[in-house]
Amino acid sequence: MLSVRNFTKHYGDTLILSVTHLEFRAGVYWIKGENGSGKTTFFRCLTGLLPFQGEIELSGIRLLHDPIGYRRCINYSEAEPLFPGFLTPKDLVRFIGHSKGATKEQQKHFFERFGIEEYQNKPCSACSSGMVKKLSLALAFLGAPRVVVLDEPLITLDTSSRETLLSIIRQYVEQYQTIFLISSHQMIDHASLTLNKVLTVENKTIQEA
Amino acid sequence: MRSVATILNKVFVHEFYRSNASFFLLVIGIAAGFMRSYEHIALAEFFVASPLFLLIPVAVWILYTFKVVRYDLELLNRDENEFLYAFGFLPMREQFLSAALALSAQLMPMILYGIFLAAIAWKNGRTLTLSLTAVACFSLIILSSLRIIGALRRPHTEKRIWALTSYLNTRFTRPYFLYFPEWIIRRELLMLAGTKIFSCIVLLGVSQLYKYDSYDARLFGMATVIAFTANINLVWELHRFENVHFSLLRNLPIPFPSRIGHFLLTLGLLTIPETGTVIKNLPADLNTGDAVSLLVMGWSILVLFYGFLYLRDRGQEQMMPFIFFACIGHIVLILFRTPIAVLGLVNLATGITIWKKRYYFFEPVAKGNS
Repeated sequence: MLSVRNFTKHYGDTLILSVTHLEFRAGVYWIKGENGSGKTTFFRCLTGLLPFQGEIELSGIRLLHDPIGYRRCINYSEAEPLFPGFLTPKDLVRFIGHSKGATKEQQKHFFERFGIEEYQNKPCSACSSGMVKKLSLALAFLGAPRVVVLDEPLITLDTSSRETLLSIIRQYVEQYQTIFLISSHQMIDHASLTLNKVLTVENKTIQEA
Repeated sequence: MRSVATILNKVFVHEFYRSNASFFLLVIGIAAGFMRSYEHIALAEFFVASPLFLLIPVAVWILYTFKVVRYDLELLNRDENEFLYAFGFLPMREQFLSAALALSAQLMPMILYGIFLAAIAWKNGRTLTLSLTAVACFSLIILSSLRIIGALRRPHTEKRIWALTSYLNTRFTRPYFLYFPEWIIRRELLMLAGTKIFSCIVLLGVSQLYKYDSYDARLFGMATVIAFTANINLVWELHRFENVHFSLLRNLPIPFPSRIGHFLLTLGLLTIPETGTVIKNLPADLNTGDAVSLLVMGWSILVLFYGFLYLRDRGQEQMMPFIFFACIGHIVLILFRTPIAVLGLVNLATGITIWKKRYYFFEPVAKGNS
């Protein structure tokens, strides 16, 4: 279970987001909100990319007390991922896979599932935004994440990659009881993905829609 | 024409001088700090004495033009500058004039030094080198303008991957400690080369003084401080790379000792020229223990600054006063006979403690500095 308590995030003196208490259990959560409402900031705090005030705990592991253990359990795919242009998808999958404890087989598996094999040796600067997006999604499944945070995972994805992604999400929820936090401006079809809850980010807080 | 020139001026020229302010400060510092006016004139007279010697400033101008063109092409690749591709619809004459104007503004340091050389050549009656100077300057302005016009007229051409790059990418996977060195070589080659040349010259120059007089380790220690402090801009870039350009790194469960290991390995690679110069030119009056202490102290200054950068996000220009005072502070401490090894250990302990304490609380703010 992922729990967020007394969470606040400021940029300078400006309050961006405040959450008194939120809990996430295995399943898919759709986080909605207007542009600039604070979804990405919330995701970046959850994944340890940005500092915040409050407490975030994942199955007894507190982000601030065990930053390494916590980061081993939570993966993130950005809305518009950017990687240093000279690195290849293979470099990134090997390095991030190694830090997240992913086996070579698992890395190869996601290469195949997302169709990255064809361009794995091409520098990221020579890859299209769709290719980089698929790479970022593949990176988000490496290791044994208990929480996967996907910021706008459906943009720039073709239909078949979208189907692949949704089927991997379903598989992870069923097999590993993974928690998925997904933000998307596109409609998530209830038939293709069973949603635990739909949450809305508005008025500087997160509440049930 | 005027509106096009204004746009190119804002997009390319302002941005170029803003992000290279430190580079120009360094160049001005070296030019004005180390040489007097008559020495500049003597050097210019040497350059214009023969077309062969003139190749020295021309080679520097070519490198500088590459830097400018590369910078502009990078700007053009940014999504926010896509509107510039409408430039291709303008009449060719207008395209060329406005591009040449913007490029001339960016190449102004070259043009000004070219005028200075031409004046010296004129004074000394060297008409051949005078005309060659003018030809070199005009050619570089025209060629760089044509390159930028070409890029503006053919947006989003497929990126060419060299056969060797392709082969290496297929055969090998880059280890993490090579990420930053490759990134800085691709992005700021001139800055890297300039830093290395400057720091090695300082070490080399001071080591020569030991041949003519007897000094203790303090003099070489002060040279080491200056040489390694010059590398702080690289440490700033490394910090930026890890926290802005490859920010996903913060999400990775890498234990702190491994982060330190990666950092020291990267630092070791970046300072190979300084390390080599210290070892190869160690004055006879100093022993191996002195060399180890000097190198540890040199690296420790960089570790200290790396840790310091986690206290608050600072732009490169904001770092200058800290660099200056740290440099002076170290020199004063060395003058007062503080053991160099102790200085190194204190710096290391302080830098690593701040880094470890602040790492997860750091938040990059000044994105414009990237």
